[in-house]
Amino acid sequence: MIRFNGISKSFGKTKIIDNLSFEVNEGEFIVLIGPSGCGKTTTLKMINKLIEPDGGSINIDGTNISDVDTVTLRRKIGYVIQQIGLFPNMTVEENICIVPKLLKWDKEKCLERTKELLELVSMPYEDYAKKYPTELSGGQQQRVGVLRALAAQPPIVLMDEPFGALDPLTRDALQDEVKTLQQKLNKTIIFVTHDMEEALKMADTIIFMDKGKILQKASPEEMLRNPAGDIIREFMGKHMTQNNNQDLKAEDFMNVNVVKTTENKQTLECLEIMKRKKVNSIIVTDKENTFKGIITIEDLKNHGKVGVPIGTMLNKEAQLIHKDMGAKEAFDMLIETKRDYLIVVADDDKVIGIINKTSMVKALADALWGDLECMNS
Amino acid sequence: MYEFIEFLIKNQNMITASLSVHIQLVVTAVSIGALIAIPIGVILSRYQKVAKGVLGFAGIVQTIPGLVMLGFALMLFGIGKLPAIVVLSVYAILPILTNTYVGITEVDKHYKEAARGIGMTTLQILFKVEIPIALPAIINGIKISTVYIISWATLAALIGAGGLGDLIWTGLATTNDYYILAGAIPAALMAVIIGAIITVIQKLVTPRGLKVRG
Repeated sequence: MIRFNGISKSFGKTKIIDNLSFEVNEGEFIVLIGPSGCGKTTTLKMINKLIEPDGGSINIDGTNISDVDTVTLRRKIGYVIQQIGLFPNMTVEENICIVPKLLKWDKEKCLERTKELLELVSMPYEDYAKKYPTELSGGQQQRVGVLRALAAQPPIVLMDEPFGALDPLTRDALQDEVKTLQQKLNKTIIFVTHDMEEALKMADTIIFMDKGKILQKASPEEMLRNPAGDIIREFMGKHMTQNNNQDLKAEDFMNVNVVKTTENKQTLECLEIMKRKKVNSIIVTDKENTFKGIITIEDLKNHGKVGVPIGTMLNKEAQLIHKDMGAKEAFDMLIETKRDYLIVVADDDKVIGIINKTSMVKALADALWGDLECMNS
Repeated sequence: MYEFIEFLIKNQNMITASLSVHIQLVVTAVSIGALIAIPIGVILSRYQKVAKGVLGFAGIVQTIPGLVMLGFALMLFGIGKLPAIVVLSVYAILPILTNTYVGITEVDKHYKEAARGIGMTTLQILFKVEIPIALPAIINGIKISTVYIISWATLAALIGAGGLGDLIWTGLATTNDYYILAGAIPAALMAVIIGAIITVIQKLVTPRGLKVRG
């Protein structure tokens, strides 16, 4: 549907786009991503001729766009930019209907279309049509921005970091809405972002650009599994780790909220801590946090005397593991030893955390469904 | 005080006539000024390099004393309303020109890019986006010009254009305070009232979306 053939573009002496060729299929959701200055926005703006290439050609449905009248072309391509793109001097309705009006649709058709579109994003016509952009929240403004781009039913929609200025919750909701709309209306969308999470969520195909070239063009799944370079791996950041469970270490998923005490504490104090923290054993360390042993409720019951330091009745049977131990190994050990928890220590037996069945479940869930970010909380 | 009121009543026809001439002078001069300044301001916003020079030049013209300008006009056009209107129009240009230029150039470039991107022609962008957004600033320029020209127009009486200046100059020449006041008070009131009227117009033409910023 859209085909870039050997496109190049320089601004002054800097080469922004370097012999770029790729194809976008009809109904495909393409995300252009890459570090700043990689040429992703330039690439996008070439499609509606906001930027003219120095060399090469862009074809849409087989027609070279340089042969098409610029204004006519743009009216057939939806365009969404960051929040500020709504005209402040026009109401929601006027903003949505700009392109249909430019295309000389009659009034009733415009009205009908506006109602229909506002319906799509659950913003009732009666409540919102006559409002001005400044009277809407950021999320609502950008919904209207998206509707404006869809108004004249263009087969192609270009989106230039449309959700960059929104708060995470709103962004998330809008991503879902746009993805749903795209599938429902079968639009071809070219979407620019620098947010890999957004790209992974939205894209059918991700095009990763750097220095004006395509480093990798792949499905999100494929890109996650086989990133074609360090820079992509870096961009994936935390999304990568969840797919490399082999590399996950004990340290990465241990629980750092450890109930600890020092060896000079006495029986009653220990009981008090157990009661308060609702645990049945406590890890005992010296003042430098070096592991000395554990003490359980049974130990206290059997040997504890009022006024005696717990150092005298330490239980040495706890299982220590080094922080670099692999996840699978740690889990196997936890299950085999039938212990409640393993104590994770650093090089000199300093206690840094514990691993119990809860940490295991969280780590597994994480690998399956993404970073839950609740492991240490 | 009583005598002054008597004076006003006795001379009310003369005063109203002067006032109406004054209003004519002001309205004509500001209208001509706006008709020249707004298009030039719009054009200048497209050529920012030239704009600095032109605005600088207009600023210099503005500093030439009104009397000198009236003198030149007198030499070129003789006595009467015509030279006065020419001079006042020249003075009316600058505030409107600057405000139009600044108003248009300060329209956020994202709006212009969005407008281009969705397929508006240059003229459509100008009339549907740039001018509406710059309109409050442009009208503000007209307001500044008007208030300013109301006071300058009193000078026009010197070259026989009439208006409230006639009363003031007569008063000064004959040291008659009543004449001076009968010219000065209506001129001052006029400035305040017309200023207020334009402010109302400004509010009316500013779309709600441009008022609630933030």
